[in-house]
Amino acid sequence: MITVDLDTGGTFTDCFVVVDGVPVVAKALTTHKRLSEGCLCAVEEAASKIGMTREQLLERTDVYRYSTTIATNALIEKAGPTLGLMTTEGFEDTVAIGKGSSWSDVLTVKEIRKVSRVQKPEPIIPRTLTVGVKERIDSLGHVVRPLDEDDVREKLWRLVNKGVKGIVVSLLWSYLNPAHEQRIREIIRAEFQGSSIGSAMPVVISSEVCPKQWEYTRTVTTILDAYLHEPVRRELAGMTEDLSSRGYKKTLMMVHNTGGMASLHRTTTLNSYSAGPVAGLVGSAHLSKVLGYQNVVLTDMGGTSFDLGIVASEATRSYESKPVIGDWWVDVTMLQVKSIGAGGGSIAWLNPALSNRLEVGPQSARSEPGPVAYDRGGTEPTVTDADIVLGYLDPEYYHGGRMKLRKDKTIEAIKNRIADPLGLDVVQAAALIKRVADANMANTIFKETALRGYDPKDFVVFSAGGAGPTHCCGYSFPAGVKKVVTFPFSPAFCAMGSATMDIVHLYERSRRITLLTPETKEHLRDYAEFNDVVEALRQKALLDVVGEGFSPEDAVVSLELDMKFGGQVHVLRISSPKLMLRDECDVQAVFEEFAREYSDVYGAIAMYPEGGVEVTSCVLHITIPQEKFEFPRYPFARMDATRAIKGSREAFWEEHKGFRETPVYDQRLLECGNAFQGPAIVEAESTTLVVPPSARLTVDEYLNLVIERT
Amino acid sequence: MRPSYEQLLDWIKPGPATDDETACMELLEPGDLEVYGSKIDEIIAEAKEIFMRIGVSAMLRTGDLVVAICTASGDMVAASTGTYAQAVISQLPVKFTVQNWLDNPTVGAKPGDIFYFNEPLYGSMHGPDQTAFMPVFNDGELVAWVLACVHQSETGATEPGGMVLRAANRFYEGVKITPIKFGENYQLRDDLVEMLFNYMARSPRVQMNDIRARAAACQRLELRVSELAKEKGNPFIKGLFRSVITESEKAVRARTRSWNDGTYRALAFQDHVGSEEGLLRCFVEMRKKGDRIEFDFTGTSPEHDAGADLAMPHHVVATGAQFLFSHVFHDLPVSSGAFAPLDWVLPAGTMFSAGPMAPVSRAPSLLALVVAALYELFAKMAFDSEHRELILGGSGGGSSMNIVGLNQEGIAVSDILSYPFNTEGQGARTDMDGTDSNSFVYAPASRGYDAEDSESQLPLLTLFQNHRRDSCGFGKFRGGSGVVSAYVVHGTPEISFSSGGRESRMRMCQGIFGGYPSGVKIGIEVENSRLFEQMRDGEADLPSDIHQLVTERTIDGTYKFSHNRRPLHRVREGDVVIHLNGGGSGYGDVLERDPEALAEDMRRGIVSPEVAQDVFCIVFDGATFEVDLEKTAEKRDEERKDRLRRGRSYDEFEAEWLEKRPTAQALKHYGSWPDAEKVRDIVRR
Repeated sequence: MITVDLDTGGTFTDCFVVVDGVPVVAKALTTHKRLSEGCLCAVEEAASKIGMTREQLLERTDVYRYSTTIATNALIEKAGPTLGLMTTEGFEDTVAIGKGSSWSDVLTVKEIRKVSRVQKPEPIIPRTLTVGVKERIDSLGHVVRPLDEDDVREKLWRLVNKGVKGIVVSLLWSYLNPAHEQRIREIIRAEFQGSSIGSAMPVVISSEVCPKQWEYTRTVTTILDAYLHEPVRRELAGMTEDLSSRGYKKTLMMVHNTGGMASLHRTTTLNSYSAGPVAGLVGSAHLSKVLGYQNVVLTDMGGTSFDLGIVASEATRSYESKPVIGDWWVDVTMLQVKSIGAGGGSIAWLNPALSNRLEVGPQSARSEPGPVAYDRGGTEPTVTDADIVLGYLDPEYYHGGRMKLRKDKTIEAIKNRIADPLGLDVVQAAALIKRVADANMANTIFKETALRGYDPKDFVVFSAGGAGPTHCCGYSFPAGVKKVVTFPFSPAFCAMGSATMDIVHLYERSRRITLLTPETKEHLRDYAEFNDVVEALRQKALLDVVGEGFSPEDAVVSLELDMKFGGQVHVLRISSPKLMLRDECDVQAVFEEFAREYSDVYGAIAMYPEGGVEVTSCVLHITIPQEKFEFPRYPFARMDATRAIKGSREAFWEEHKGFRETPVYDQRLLECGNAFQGPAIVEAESTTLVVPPSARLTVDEYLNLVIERT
Repeated sequence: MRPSYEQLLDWIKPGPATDDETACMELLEPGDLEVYGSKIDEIIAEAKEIFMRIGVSAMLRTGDLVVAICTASGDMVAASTGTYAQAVISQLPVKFTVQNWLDNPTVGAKPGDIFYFNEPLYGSMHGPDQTAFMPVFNDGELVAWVLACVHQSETGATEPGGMVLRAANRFYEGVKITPIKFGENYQLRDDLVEMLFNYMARSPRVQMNDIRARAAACQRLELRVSELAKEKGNPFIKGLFRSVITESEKAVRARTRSWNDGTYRALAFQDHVGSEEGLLRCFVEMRKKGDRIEFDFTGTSPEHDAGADLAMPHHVVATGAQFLFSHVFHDLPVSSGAFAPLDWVLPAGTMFSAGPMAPVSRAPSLLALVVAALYELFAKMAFDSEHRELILGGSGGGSSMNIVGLNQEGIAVSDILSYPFNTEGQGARTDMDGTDSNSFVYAPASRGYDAEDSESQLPLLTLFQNHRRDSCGFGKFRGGSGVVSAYVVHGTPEISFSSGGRESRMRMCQGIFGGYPSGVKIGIEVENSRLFEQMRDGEADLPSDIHQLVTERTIDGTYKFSHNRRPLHRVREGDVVIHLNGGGSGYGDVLERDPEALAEDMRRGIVSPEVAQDVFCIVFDGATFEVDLEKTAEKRDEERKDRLRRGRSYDEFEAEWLEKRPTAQALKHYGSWPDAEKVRDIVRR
């Protein structure tokens, strides 16, 4: 059995190959013009490590799973086609208005405060290519104004004459009654039948792409889906062809941001957006089961950003509460991976407005010019520069010695830019930079766990990314976390994650169903109102299961519900204890699960069932479990890790308020059972783990490094 | 016991650091302020998010709210992004409680207590702004207070919405709660909750839910601050809090020093008083010297007896905070320290210093005048500074529309329509246009909610909701466009509407440096309408924008045009109510606007061809909007020459201007003409 997992990132394409249970990690530079080239290079490197040619490896590969950034790239490059939008007459500016401050959807709190300079994102479909059609459906789904078909035709040709290559249709209340949207699609198809451009006029309707309440997010979601479809399809067709011509004959499996995967043909454009980090999250979930942890924060600290995601017992709390794609708030279910501007390249600077207060990031020196120590023209000190001054990073062994760093330049920059203005020495300034950078990340861990109703003390941190192990104790312990784990395959963590995925499909539909009546708290009696929605989703799901070549018996069906108290806008997603409602006890069971979850997240004082309880959306999950990668286990070797020590150097420790001679371990030589107390430094080829004096490191049976606060 | 206005103003500034606090500040090490200052920000952000997710009322769920942390003596340390006005004065009831209840054996404060309040005389902006606050203890010592405040569109007042147009005195304005203990042991007291339920029976579901939302937000803050105190110890917390306040003051002083010393003046007018048309004047003289600024409101119209367009001095300062933290202090900590170097002169007898019997429920609406004046004052002062990028023309000053009655499910509702409220245009910047349909001036990152949301909660059908053509202020850079919404009563025989709007004759905000103010707003309704029948019958020419509605009048019915302020009135099913919100003011000369940008404005329906031609003086193809640059240059040259021909000396202008005088109705509540001095005593019973 051979599996290949590819994760395309901004700089590198990671490859995780498992041949009969043995994992191999490979990397190649991402080729943005044609992503498949970078993928094939990574596969080639992996193949060479195994002793095969690329073609041999691909011919023997059983599953090829792919996390791609195509959608991200297409959005940045504005690579989509010219589209026209048909909406309900009188609502042509809905996207441009953006419910007011749409600029705030992608900004940090600090950026939001700078109101004087805000700017809204430019709509993907300009106002000039947006038309309103004469029709209206009301909040009960009743037709208040019949569709004016002549008007549709006239507006259609108005758009066509302006050069649109596709039409997006998003009408008010279409998720409740899609008749008008469907009819518009029929009209457009009829208009183009037999014409020279014929079927070349795609029509995308919101009631199919996003059958959810709220016209703004539904419309935006549908526009993005339509806009990104063609560039994503084109790129993936190229990928399929490249793989096929090199020997891979099976289905290309796409990693989804929902936390599962599906064949290329069952993947929507938006499913693939930001799938790589989500794969890492799914890998964490699998690892947490293997290692026996209930709650995990996955952290990934790279050069420019610090990403984190939550794995916890209540899976519904891991979803993105306000999903954003590019500049746009959308309504799709995706697992949340929070990103802040904090990485090795984050720049330390003094804020003159606050008496020269030291701040770190969000600006980054990135890889070019990079930290001052890279000596590529960077002049502003970064977190990596501070790590060098503090002795954590060896200027002679950066990236396994492949890159020599200039400590002298680093010292000079920190002295001039930070230390002297603050009246500190260079070491104090570097320690301050590290402390502030770590605190920013610690606060993010704290906030993201707390917002979901958890206590960070109950979590274990998984650390990935090049700069992650250097700072993992620094950002985990202040957040209240007591245990941190790093992994031998950290460099390709997200690619590893997709090797642990199941096939998952999600089916969603908004429907407002009153579970408890306001004031009287009477339970829902019309069970069909609920069951019909679920059954319709289930039937659709099973068709897809069969279409993908599986038996309905292979599928595990589960239901999630978006619920709220009467009058609220914000919903809380729960795992429904019942798939269907058959009696009052079932209704009560759903309510109790909602009440329990609500109370956990917001506190008991916030409960108000007297205001009524409503279901607003049903989300049906179909899971087809897949065989997962099993991590190789190693027998206990010894506790003493002395043989892994490669030397020592002076490193700064906050606990000692100064430098101490610190042993340096070679990660490759660590064995199962090795254990030692900090301070210590563990060097690997692509990262350096820093173990403070107050922590103890243990190597577990998977050769993971487990650091616990003592 | 009730605090005087002077006392309330004094409480807005931080109290002096105690010896204990000063000693505790010494405990902080380098980096502590950075690390734990940002921790406080995260605690605040978490509580705000929870508050918004739980709440029901329109203002709450759109983010027009504040959560804050205060020291043990009540000085504000940090507050959430958004409604800074509430943040600044929500510390006042805390200070009252500290001074009057803390050591009072009949009240006191202990862990888990929840206090509640909304009384303007004790610091609230107006009755609808209701605040929950809690003490935070660690090891038996009071270390902090936390609070959560949001506008509630029901107070049991004589008019729904709680902002009573026709109030003769404070007793028209519904329940007013002085700071009271509302809960104990982390639970609300059912007897007091029932009392509020009884008072606010027009919309009990909203009230009951939002009280819980406030309490839940407070509890989360209380938990986090006490955790921090446990981790770091009480002396650290005290030192940290005082350091934040001190740093904030230092930062404001430094920023102020960077601006040119001088005396700057601004005027702003409101064109409605109570339920009548009339003029009110806000006059501000801003004296800036060194690191201090004094705002003197002498010359503002006197207190009147025509309704609740009145305010108290602390309201004015709170409104100032809204402007300052949204713009020129956007990067400084939101703490009471910021107010130490700022002084406020608010003479007794003006409408901004109304007597204690006065109704003030419309204070925030009236005080949009202060915001308008501050836009102008800071544009003048900061233009010649490194902060020029932060100045801009005035935004829409907010214009609420309330709806009350039974919704389509028979549930009692009373709420503000959120979409128009939160989509007003932003003023132009000195280097770019204002943002269209930007937000609400009192909550800069607030959101309206979708038509599908309002229509599911309220008995309405939205006929159209788009940018309003020509609503922006014109200039070299234009203000952001406002929005027009048309609501049709649907699913209920009738419902009541009221609008607290104004600016039907003139806008409060003027343009800056030659820019125009934005368009005025009027009230439009269609009564006895046959709209639903016409829609059912598939009539093709029904209106999809306000210009079409007014000029073509294809909806069968009676068209009513009024000023924008519309007291509570019944509207029947099928009738149409129009709401126009405000655009932003313009910057600079219209003749300097890029003609290509105007062509785009026309294509997007933001500016009409008539305005482009007559005001901006460009020449273009009427079908494609393609601009003829050569002819435009010629036309603009001609206009410049014509301006010179139309021009006159200042003496000539002033002589003519002084001959003019507003009508008697306009001056009824204005005060003496032209200086707005008091002309009569106001007696309230």
